[in-house]
Amino acid sequence: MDAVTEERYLPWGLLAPALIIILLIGVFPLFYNLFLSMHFWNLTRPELGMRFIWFKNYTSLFTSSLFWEAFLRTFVFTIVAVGLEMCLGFGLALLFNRDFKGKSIVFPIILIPMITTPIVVGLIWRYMFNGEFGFVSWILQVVGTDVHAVLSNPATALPAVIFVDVWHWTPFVFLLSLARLGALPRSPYEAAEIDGASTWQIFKWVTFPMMKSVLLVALLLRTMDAFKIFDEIFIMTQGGPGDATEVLSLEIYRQTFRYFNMGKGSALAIVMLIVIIIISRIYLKIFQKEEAVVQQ
Amino acid sequence: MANIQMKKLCKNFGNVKAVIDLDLDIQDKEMVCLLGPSGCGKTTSLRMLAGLERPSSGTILIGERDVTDLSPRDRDIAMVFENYALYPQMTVFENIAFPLRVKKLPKDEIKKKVEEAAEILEIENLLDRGITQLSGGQKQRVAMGRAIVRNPSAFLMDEPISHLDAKLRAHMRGEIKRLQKDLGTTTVYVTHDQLEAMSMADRVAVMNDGVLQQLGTPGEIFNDPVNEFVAGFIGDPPINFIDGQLVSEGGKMYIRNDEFSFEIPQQRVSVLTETPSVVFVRLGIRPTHFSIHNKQADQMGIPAEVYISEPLGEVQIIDLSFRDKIIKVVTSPDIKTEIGEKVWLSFDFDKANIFNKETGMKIG
Ligand SMILES: Nc1ncnc2c1ncn2[C@@H]1O[C@H](COP(=O)(O)OP(=O)(O)O)[C@@H](O)[C@H]1O
Ligand SMILES: [Mg+2]
Repeated sequence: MDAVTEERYLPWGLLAPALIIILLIGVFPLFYNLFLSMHFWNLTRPELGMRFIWFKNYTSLFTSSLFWEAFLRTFVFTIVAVGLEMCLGFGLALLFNRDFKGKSIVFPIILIPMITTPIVVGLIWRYMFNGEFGFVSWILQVVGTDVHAVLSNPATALPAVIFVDVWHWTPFVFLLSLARLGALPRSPYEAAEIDGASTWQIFKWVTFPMMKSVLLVALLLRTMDAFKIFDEIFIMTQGGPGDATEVLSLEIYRQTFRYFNMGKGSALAIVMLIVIIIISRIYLKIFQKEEAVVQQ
Repeated sequence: MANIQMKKLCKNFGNVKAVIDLDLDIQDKEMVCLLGPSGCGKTTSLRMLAGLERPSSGTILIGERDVTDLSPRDRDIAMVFENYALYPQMTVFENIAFPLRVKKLPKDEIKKKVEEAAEILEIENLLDRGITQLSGGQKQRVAMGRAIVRNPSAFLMDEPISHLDAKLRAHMRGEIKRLQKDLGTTTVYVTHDQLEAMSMADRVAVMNDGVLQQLGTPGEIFNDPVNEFVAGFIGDPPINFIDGQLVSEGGKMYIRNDEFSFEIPQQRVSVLTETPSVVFVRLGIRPTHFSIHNKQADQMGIPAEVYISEPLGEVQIIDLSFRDKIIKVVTSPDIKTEIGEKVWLSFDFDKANIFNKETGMKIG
């Protein structure tokens, strides 16, 4: 092989392993999923085989109230959980951006939830919420409420899983915000102080505008992640009681691995993907608009 | 409008003494330049004035009001930072409007004032732009705009034009000085560029190693420097120093070394005899105060050799080697010299300064 051909093929050779892996675990499943979502294929009815049925899976989804309820529930979960995470995370970061006694001890403790795997988070809180020996239930009894099995009560199960997600991911927003706060230039603050701005005006007009981009990134990542939450809820409630915590990804699981309705499960997965893409597009638009103001 | 007084102002950063016992009295409507080499404590002094740095000791008065313990927002001063310190997420208009928005002025009044400031600085067409799209000179104007919309009691400027190119800098020197005179606002202007300080200031405060060396009009600083540092820092090409010994002989005084012996004019002698113990001295002579001769005219001649000449158009600088040093002389471009040519230098003794070689202080 002469040098020129080598130069032409070498990059491909080097990229090949990575490309093959991406094709196998990313691209192929996506298209296979798309393919399945337009078929009827129920593993409990092997005699019916796999039949191409156009968009029937989708239409049956969109006409099912169960789907719309799960959809709405997922939205509520996402908006409330992510909203709280953003406020708490950014607020904590503002507190931590100045020096106080014991900061170096509190700081790593705050980060612990973030570095815990979702399954373990689910397990921890399943025990904490346990009606007989759970810590949270004990506290609820001490303060005199009659709710004790929080996760078995349809009224409290969804708030409880929201609480767990907030506990789990607030540190993420906190860390991202704190890193950015620490990297903000000092000079606009000095200028603002000289220009006579109050603490609140400085926050509103100096800090917040400079933090907007990182907050948008945190918001985007958290929204996409919360929208497809699975592990914690699966471990804690399995979507119950009834379907009080049944979010979209649990619905996918139920369709696919309980009812073995591969086509319908795949269609749900595609719908979820599209929603996530739409959300991220909206955020990117906002993001670009922000940038445009700065770049103008 | 206010006068500014700094009394015994000190600032230490750990072991570093950045500013030591600074006493400075600035009149109302005056423009004072803090001048000195990098790291001499100019910025620190200005930041203490602004309230961004807390003095280790000493007091600051602005308009007879003790502001030493006040925060920057309560001092009614405007500052132009070296890096401009504009608000990156705002447009030019919003940047200039910021101090007015802070005061919750009505919208149309803000608009009017911002437009006025923009007109003075000739940046009306930039008002809608974002900050990242501006050139250095434009940013500098926006920073000035933000300072002048407020009509503060004093301007503090920290090397506001040192990042601009030479031509723009020369232009802005005049602009800023004129603006300051038009507005009549007391101004403290920090720079390391002696040309800037000399051309803009009513009075120049020369600093070195955290210590104020001399405060005076540009003329005083140039012609009558208190010590070798001030003499050497001001002037381009720099002043020439020539070592010698004071000798008294037959009722007359001479400055002497192996190459020459100059009689000191009678009117200078009386001053010199006030410090009789000094023997070793250093003559400071400006490059423009020499004249070059191709033969020894009288006793007053320094023998030197032409090292190189630098024609600059209007004038020429001739570098002459004398002992192991170079003496720079500014002459008319018509004088022709050859490398290695032997010449004699004479100088105007009335304009020369005599320094104590040990302490560096001027003695006559
Ligand atoms: N925040 C600081 N911490 C420690 N040392 C400082 C600080 N600011 C300035 N210094 C020191 O103080 C001295 C004066 O600095 P500065 O006022 O910035 O000088 P200039 O503006 O004249 O160049 C320098 O030696 C500098 O290193
Ligand atoms: Mg400085």
